[in-house]
Amino acid sequence: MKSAIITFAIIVSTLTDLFAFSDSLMTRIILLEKQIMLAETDSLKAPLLMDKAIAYRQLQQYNDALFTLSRINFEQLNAGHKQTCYYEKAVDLYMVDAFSEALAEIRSLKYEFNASTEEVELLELILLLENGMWLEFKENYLLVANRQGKDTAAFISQFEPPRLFDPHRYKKLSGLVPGLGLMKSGYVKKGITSMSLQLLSAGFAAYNFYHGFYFTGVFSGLMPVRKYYRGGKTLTFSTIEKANADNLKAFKKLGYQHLQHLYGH
Amino acid sequence: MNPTCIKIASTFLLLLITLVSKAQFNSFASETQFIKHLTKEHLYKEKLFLLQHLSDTSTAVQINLEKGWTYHALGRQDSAAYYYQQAPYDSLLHYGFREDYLTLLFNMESLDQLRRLTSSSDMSNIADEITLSLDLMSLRYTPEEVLHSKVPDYLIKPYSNYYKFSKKSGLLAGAYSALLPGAGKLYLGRKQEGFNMLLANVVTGLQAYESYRRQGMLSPRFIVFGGAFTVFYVANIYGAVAGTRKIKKEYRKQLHHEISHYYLRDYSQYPY
Repeated sequence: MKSAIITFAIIVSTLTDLFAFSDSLMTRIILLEKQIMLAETDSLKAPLLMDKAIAYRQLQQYNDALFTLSRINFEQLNAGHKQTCYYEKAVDLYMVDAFSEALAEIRSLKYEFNASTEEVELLELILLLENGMWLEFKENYLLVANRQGKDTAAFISQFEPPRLFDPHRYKKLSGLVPGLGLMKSGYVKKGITSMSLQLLSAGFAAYNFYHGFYFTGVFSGLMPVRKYYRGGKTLTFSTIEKANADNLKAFKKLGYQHLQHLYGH
Repeated sequence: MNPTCIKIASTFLLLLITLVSKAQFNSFASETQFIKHLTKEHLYKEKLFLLQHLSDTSTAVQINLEKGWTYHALGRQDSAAYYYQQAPYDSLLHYGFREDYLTLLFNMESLDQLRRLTSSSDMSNIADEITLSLDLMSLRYTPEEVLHSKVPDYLIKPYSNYYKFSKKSGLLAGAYSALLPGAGKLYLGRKQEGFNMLLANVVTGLQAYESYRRQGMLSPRFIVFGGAFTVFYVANIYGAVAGTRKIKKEYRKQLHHEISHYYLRDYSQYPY
């Protein structure tokens, strides 16, 4: 009975915490907006807008945070606020999957202010990884790891960019011999199925022509051959593209694992 | 101290903070300037939060109207209609929200309700645009009359299309398709669909004919291709009949969209 009461109390309190946290943050946002309305100059408004954007980020409403940041007159910010603004923009853009824009922001922060805090370094590494800039990622990673005195042997041996296939080349192969592109890229079953379908249709067309069923030979034999031939080429292209995307995803995951090892959180 | 006790104590503390924070918002009257500012800056989510936390209940009508307008601006039409309907109808006119409400009804395609409201005696000074929109949706004018009326140019084409296709008969389209596969679709102005349907029927028909000529009516080959031809032929007739209704709906939707987005948009402007 006692444990049931305690469990109930914990559930109620957790839910209340969640509600009160978001509600109080929203209240803070409204009060900040009120101050923004009353502020007479852009220089007074800028830090308030920054605080509001941070509150939105804490609420995980990243688009609202970005909108708030876009209202800031950047020229009116002091150096410290400018740095925060760059960082906040980069984080919010990262959270809405705008990786290249986020990288541009973090680079502006790095080169304009020579900022090299742990958060900035980590965010830059993540964004390099997300933007597929493997070499730069590797260089920066090794730089940080060496500075921290971490062992990099495992990273160097494992972090090799995946081998990506050229979908156009394999598509051409499938055009040359049906199913060949698929078989050569490792999808043997798919390749055989594609080849068989085309052979069967061609065989059906030949059988009909031989027996004098010319309309059937054209419409139910040759037309499907054409359709399967084109479909086979498209299938090869999309299969290779998907395989490349999967490889890149796995590679990014590996990069994140190494980052976790480096920063420990 | 027991961790559970700490957790429960923190909960009450947070609740207290929440209650105190709620008390930071005053009455509707004292927040009017701030509400206008939020509207001007398009901060609708914040405006709604503020409206929900105002401590004053004597101005519930104005709060509901503001909520209705804000939800409409956010594109949440059902919520907007709910809050507008919470306020007495006279108050809509009094506080300047009537045209936004009528536009909302038009956007929601509640045309019967809109027609009832606009035809009542106290609506004599209703905006011409809303009345005209209703007339267009109920096909009150012929395309020739529309050319000489106040209807803007960009509405003439969608109106003429809707008018023209509303007169088309599904039965006639079906009869054309029965006579010549695809002809029903041509009658409905869908040339590509009509050609495709004709091609499908010719392809299956020729194969069925070939099977019949060489192997007779009871051959498996004729049964397969004859069956396929029958399916395509029946589908061609059904497609023409059902397509008529669908096409009429599409043109109606297009006209409605044009009126909502380009003609009545200004009527959703904030009244203050």
